[in-house]
Amino acid sequence: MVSFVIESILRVTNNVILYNIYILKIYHFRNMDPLTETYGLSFYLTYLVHWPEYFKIAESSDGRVMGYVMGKSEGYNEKWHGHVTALSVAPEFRRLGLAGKLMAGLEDVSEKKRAYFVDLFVRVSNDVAVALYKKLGYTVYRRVLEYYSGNSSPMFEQDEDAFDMRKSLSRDPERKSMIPLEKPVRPEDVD
Amino acid sequence: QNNKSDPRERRLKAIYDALDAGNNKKAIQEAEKVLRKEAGDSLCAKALRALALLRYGRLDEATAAASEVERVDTSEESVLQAMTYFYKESHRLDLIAAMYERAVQQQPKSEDLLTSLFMAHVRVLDHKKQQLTAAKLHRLAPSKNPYYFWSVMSVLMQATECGGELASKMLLPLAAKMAEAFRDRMNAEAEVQLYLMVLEMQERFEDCLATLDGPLSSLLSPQSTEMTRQQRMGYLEKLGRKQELADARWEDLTTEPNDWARWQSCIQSSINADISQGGDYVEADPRLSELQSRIDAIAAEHPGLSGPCLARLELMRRCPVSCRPETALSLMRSYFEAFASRPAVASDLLQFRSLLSDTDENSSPAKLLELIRPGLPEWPKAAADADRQQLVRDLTARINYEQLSRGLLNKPMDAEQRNAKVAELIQAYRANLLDGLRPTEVQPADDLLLLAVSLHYDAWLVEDAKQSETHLLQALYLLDEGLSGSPSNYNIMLWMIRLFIALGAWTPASNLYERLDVKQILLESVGFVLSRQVARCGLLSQGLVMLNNTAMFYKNNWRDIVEHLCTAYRIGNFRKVPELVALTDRVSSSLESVFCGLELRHQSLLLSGPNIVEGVYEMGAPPESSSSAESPQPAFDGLVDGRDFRLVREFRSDLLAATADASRLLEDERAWLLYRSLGLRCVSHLTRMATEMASTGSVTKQADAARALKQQLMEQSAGSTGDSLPAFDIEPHPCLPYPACLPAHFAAGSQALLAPAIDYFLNLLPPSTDNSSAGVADASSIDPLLESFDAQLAAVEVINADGGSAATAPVEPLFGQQLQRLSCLCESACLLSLVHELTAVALAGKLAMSKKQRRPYETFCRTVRSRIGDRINRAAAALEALEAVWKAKIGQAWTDADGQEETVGVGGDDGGQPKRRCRAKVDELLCQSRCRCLGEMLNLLRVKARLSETGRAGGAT
Repeated sequence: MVSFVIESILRVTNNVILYNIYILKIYHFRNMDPLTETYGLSFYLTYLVHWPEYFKIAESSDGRVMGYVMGKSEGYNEKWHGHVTALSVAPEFRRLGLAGKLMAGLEDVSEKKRAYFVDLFVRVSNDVAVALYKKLGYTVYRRVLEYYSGNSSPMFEQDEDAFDMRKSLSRDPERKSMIPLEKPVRPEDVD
Repeated sequence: QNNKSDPRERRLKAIYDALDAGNNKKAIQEAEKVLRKEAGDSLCAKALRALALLRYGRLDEATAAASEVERVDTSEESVLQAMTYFYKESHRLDLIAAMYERAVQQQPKSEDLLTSLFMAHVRVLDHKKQQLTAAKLHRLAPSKNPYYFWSVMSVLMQATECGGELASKMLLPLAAKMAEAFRDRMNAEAEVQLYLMVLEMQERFEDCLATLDGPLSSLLSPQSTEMTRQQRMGYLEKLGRKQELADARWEDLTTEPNDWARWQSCIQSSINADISQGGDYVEADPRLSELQSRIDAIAAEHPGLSGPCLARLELMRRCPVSCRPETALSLMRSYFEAFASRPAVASDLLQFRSLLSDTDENSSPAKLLELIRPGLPEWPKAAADADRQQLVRDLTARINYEQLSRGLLNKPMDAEQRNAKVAELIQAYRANLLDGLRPTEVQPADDLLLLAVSLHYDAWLVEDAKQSETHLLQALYLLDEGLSGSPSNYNIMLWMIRLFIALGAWTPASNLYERLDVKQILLESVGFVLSRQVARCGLLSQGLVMLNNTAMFYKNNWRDIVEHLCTAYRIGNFRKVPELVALTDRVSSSLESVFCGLELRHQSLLLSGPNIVEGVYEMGAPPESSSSAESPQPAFDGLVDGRDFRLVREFRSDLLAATADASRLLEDERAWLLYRSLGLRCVSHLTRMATEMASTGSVTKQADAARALKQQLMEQSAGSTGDSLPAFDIEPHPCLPYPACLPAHFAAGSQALLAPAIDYFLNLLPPSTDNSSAGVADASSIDPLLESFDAQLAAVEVINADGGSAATAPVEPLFGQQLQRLSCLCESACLLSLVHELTAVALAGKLAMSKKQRRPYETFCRTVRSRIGDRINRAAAALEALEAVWKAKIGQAWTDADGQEETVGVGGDDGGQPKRRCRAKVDELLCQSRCRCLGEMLNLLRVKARLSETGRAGGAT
């Protein structure tokens, strides 16, 4: 069973604010599968301070963090869009439809913010994730060359390309933002 | 841009560029070049030079350079900015505020400077000064709303901080008045939220609701609807409007009819509303059946949802009068049958175990298992043509059943049952490995292997087999097999870390820990799996690196959080301000942070070798270490335990119970911290005593403090022996340390040397009126110290006599425990070596006297030196013998495995035996790692022994 934690409001007792502190849930992230990056505290805080509405956490019935999504909104005019910065579901909670739920929440916020589309980057080798995003209505908009740099982990020694995947929202009924680019781009040319 | 041609700007730019590129050495040179050309006039170059020196690690010069800048009052932006970086990076945020105070005095009307000053106060959480500065800003620019609301927020934070009457009678009414005065001028959502925060603090929840419904609500953005709805329900709850709350909760549920938290709130609030209407429920209460049919209605409306089904069980749990075990059983049965092929169903159901009956056979946990068993799919078999999705579903159902039965039966099996079950699980595991998975994916069958591992672990716990490595090894062999099929399964890695440590193998555990990429935020929740083991695995340089990384992470955390606090003010996200402040509290009271900081100081003190005396001083006295005897012993109260004990999945509730008592776990940790910090204070105080003797000829000033410390030591060891702390108690839960650190350390006697060491220094130079004729203590004054060391040594030499062989040794054959003893022995040897060095420090003056006068001191020193050297050498010899035993075993495991076929019985039935390849690999890893640990400790002892042999103590500085 899943709960989607929503930013809770403060609780006041005897003049002391007792927050149900959402921020502290960061410490419960279980980022130990190799495809989930663990960032510095500062990175998560940036998102929580600037785009709290884009932070969504799924908890199990016994209170463990099963997965989370974080994102932001950015861009001008017809490039105003929601962006998925990180989506993670712990391995033992896969196949429960959590990723879809979390993504739907993020898309909903983007709709309310009148964004034209939602986009995300994914390793080209991560076919499980690519298939999932396709199922959720995303298409490959372009390929970004060597977007991920290799690191010390034996699984990711090489630089790797990313797919930039997009899904249009209701503000882009003709799905203009999803028309794929023919040629791949370099990371520095990604706006 | 205009300055491009200005040579001075160009030269400064060269410094900035070098700093940005991380080339600090070049930055120093560039800065010095500017200073030469401009005859030292450029304050900015001076500030940048200080920063570059700091980053280059030349701390003393950096501080000197910075104080040169501090002497000049300036409001020059570039200087202030460079110094801000300098202070941030040297963790002196308080000095930023002081600097901007001076700058503002120069330019009182500068909005920029005042803003910087405001942020400087934010960084040190000085809410009062924040308020004053924001008020000045508001007077300068009355049309700018943010400044005004900064001061409202600052008043609110003062109220949060101080609480009590000052908050409720003065600060909060002030904040409310300020916010209300600007009601008509509010133009941002954040301002409305801030107003609501003030009202919430004043518990004016009616006014909160009115605000949400009033004209100000137009400022709330569409994406906040969800949050606003939660807020509204929170206010209703606070106001005790139970019926309205229940209605709102049910309404809320319809938007997410499968959200567990919403179900829980619904049931809770409905029960509360009903009970407040007409007393407690009775059996067959119509209100109860109404609630049940409400749940049923949602179930009917959304067929296939798991939420309503569990909600019925939740209702029983919250309202026991409604619970009939047979109904619970049938609900659990239908839940399992409906959702068995989905992950995590076992944990969903296990939380309702208590609803079943332990007495009535027909509604017992065993009955439930018996009923669902026939419906299970056959054990699947992975084959090339199999329908993979169906296979995973069947496998999941079987796994759920096995996990559920482990949790429901809740007790260890007898040996025969267990062996049969292990064989069944492992064969099913091997038959269901999927081909073609990416290394980042996890084999669905891994959970079977993990269950078999748990069974071996059970066996180790119950069969009084804690002294035997057999079961742990069996588990490790299986895990190694599992990891090769599923290289990124973190559950497998966590189990392996735990078992390797139990077997005294630090290196493979630490390699796996690195492979898990435990860093940053994970240090708080996961770091303990290794940080707690440093002290028991020998004094390892790797351990020191690890502790240092963690300590740095926490040190930087504070700085990062307050930077975001500044951002929250800057962008007006006031809701986040108190949250971030709470986070700073959380970080500074983190158990892991305090633990690693203390352990790091302790270990580095013992390892610091020839510089040990300077080492003690260099480490200074960070507030929490309180290494001086005069400062009070830190209490380590109010620490927050962030360790995640659910890392390793366990289903047996009796094992889980061990982690349920958070306060006991924290108390254990606190006891350890007190023990460690007392040890650290003692060591540090010995140094003080020696230095006092060197300068005055005897111990006078430090004597009382030394006696007080000794008293504390006695009390601590008296409180830590006896029946309450059995020597090697093994915590049953797989995530807990085993044995608990503290009793094991006491059993190994590592603290026992400290009290005699204090006595030794107190008696070293008897006080005398005539300084020149003061005698030196008898050489036998070191005996009690050596006796305690001998006791430790004897315990180790017993192990040695058995050659560390698990098969023959009757006492402590578990290498993890042996290693812990050896580790304590090493700590003691380091302490002996320190005593030796400090003797030389204390007597340095005497040894410099005329030949005749210094003779007794020389004799004394020589005796102490040779006796201490002898002990350290004996300890080294003990380690060396043990190392030889393990060295001889290196490579053997492979030889044994070579040329032997796997034993496979009829029809591929191998009885779930571990693979030879895995056995050989794990055995080899254990041998090598043990050798390495022993080798590293041995090196340390040799260094210490050499120190005493070369007689560094005799007159070296």
